[in-house]
Amino acid sequence: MHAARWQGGVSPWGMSWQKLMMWLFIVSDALLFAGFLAAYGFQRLAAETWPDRNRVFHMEFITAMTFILISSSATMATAVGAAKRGDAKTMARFLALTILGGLCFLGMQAFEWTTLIRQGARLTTNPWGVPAFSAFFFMITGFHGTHVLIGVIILLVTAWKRASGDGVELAGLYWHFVDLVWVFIFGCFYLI
Amino acid sequence: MEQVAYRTYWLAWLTLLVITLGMVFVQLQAVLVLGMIAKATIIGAWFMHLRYERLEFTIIIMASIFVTALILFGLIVPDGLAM
Repeated sequence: MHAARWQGGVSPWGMSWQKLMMWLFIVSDALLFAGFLAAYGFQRLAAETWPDRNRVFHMEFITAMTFILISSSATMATAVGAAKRGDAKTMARFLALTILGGLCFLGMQAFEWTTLIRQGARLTTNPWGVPAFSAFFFMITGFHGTHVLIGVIILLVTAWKRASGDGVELAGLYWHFVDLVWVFIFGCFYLI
Repeated sequence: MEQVAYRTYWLAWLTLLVITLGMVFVQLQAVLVLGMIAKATIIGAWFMHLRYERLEFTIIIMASIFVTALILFGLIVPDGLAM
């Protein structure tokens, strides 16, 4: 799988150290978002009222964002598969589709933020009554959006360097993780 | 790593879409929670290849996140109701 093994002839779980480190990073990053969402859940249960999400968000728009991110994860998985097969052409094509999906998602999030900010939403205040609502909204979606932005940069570098199978696989793991986090943000923030 | 057919990824994609639409239209708390767990499982198992890694590794990853989630969402978040 990977030429560089740990000394001693044994690599833990038969994976490269790069992949093991990526997983360690993903688990620790998952703890970050779990902490955010738990703080949000605690605050929401403790609050007497909470803004009606149908008045604040446009669900069709958010569902479209979710669709794009899920689709970009599927194109990323295909790109990783192509890289493993040594099919550089298919890999480049699906990597480009994934980057496009990430940029679409970022653009739509920027549009959503702009819409809410124009309506008067700030970190400390918002027109829907509960100040903590917009604080949690901007912090959690902001952190996630930053992860998407970093993911797009990683994918651009991966494509630019014409990375081999292992490099694309690492970028893929990160990208799927960002999609995984959105599953919980979408569920906890927009649907419940 | 064994090679996974492209079709598998797109089946996973289709399943994720169906679950997402189900969550948006039904909007029952139980459906939302089960939907989120199902989507996370599909992404982890197929897209992130946990299904194809060694079992011990998959268990360590899943267990660490499960224990954290249990402490945060099972023990701490419900305390918000008592505030």
